[in-house]
Amino acid sequence: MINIIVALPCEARPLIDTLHLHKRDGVNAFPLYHTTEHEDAVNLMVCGLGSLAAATATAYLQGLQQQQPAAAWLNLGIAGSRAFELGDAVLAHRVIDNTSGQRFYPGLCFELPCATAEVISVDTPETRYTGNAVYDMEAAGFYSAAMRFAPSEMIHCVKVISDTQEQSIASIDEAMVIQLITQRLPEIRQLLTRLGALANELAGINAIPDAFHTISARWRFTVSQQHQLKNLLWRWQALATEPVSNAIDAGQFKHGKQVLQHLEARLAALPLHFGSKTKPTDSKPS
Amino acid sequence: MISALYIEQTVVDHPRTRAIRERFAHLPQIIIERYGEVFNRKAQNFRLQKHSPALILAGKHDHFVLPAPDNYGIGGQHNYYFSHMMNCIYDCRYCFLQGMYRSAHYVLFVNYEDYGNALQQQIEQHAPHDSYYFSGYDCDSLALEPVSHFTQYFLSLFRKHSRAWLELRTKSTQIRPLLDAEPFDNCIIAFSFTPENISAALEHKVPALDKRIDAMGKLQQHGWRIGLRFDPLIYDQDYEAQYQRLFQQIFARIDADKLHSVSMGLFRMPEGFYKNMVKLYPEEKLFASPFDKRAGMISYRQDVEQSMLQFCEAELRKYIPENSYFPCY
Repeated sequence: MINIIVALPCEARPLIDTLHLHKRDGVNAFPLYHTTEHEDAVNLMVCGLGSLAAATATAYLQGLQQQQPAAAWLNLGIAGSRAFELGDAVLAHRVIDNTSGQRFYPGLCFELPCATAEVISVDTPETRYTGNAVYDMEAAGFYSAAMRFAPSEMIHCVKVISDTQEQSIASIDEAMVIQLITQRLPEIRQLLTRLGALANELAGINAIPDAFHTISARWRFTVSQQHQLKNLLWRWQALATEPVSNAIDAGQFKHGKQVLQHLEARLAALPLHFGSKTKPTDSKPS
Repeated sequence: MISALYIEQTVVDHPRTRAIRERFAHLPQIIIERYGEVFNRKAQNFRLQKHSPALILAGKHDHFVLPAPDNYGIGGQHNYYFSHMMNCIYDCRYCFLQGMYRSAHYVLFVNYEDYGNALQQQIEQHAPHDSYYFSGYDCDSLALEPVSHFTQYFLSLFRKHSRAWLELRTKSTQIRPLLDAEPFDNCIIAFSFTPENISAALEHKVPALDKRIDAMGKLQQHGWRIGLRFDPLIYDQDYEAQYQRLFQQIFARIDADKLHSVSMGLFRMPEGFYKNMVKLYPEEKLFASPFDKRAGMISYRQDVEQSMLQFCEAELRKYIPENSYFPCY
């Protein structure tokens, strides 16, 4: 799953169109668009201008998804720079909150779809650009909030350059923003694909084996025993060639503890061989 | 392989930094104050980073040379280790680094000269007695050689001190600098091995076993002293046949009489590290092994350990003289 935070409706429009996103009813604080058509579900929230708005929308979107698997997060928007050309797409390699000085380092653990730069988030539109940095108003707030919910490898900011030394910020209008972002959709889609793969991998790491729900519905387990059960089910998945349900259904257990003891005994008898093994069918991660 | 360079401000002008920056001119290069702001920060995922770690160029300020852990030695009394790098380009599922560090990024400390001074002091403190210095504890000694030029500096240091023993521990086949250099007696190139199927399953990104054995053979022929490290021994239901086969493969290529040392070690992991590793790779078969917790450490059950040790030691003795064997457990 991928969550996208954008400041303005015109920044959102090219993504809404290309990803066939639909507005979700019943979400009032911020407009939310989504789709489950793609391999990776996509949510896009329009937060309004500024770091505080971006942080609030990020937290709000996370709150709507409490039971969902791990998500990648992307902040997309326009930005100013003197080092890049109008229309360039830039991936943040460092995000700096200009007010607090706080710094964030997105984890660049995939093939980069475009150039990278430092993104400095300011409170009011900046027109005096220094160095090679890119200036925006949302990235730091977005990043600060998203880091509560995901590792930095899953949180990224892409900025499309809309104003430069030559191109004044005053000349920006909605049509221009739509055009600039539309031109960078290939790079943005590449990034979404890579983030989707990371999100799926992380979801797999955090998954609970399917059989956990079935077994914990049949017998009572303490919290500590639930942890033991998860570990045993992961071990079962690693070693066994038959579904764990075969092992459980054959036994008569009064308590969860007996289930754990039975599984432990069965696992101890299974051979461990670092070769190929046919996976059991009911122990896939959920 | 490397996704980006992070460079500490204080080493920006160091000649090694400049050379590495030039080599990776195509990558993002980000100047930072201290490596910890990237390496030690929260909200990192070691497993995801391992897809394409960054290289952090930093300066080391203290603790250049540290006492080696107990049982980490090859017959000497004074054992130390030093780490010019943190983390490894390989991805071995049993490695403690993935449980110890938050980050999979490589940290390369470029101020070798400061390591050299500290080593020199330590060596002089023990002179005229022997002292041993292990590289390859927090990283592979040779794997990043084309970038780090680690051996170029440290071989010349140890070449001048015949009573100071240097161990380079590796799974790499990056042996060109060693083949281009004149061997000397107090340097041991120690290769770590597990059987082929275990290596294929657990030692990701490590060169194939036959290539490593071949590299080791070339180094021995060139005159370097070779060490064999079977550490940790890894359990598999067919471990007997697998370790037998491994020893056959190695000793078919290596002159056992010219070996410097052979050591064997057991899987030992602090419980906290182990839990971190399982969280990263819950589906990993290694973590379904017959492990036990003793005194806060995760290891194989004692009966499993004893069986593996007895068998592997007996098999090894078919090939090597007794005085070259050093148990590390």
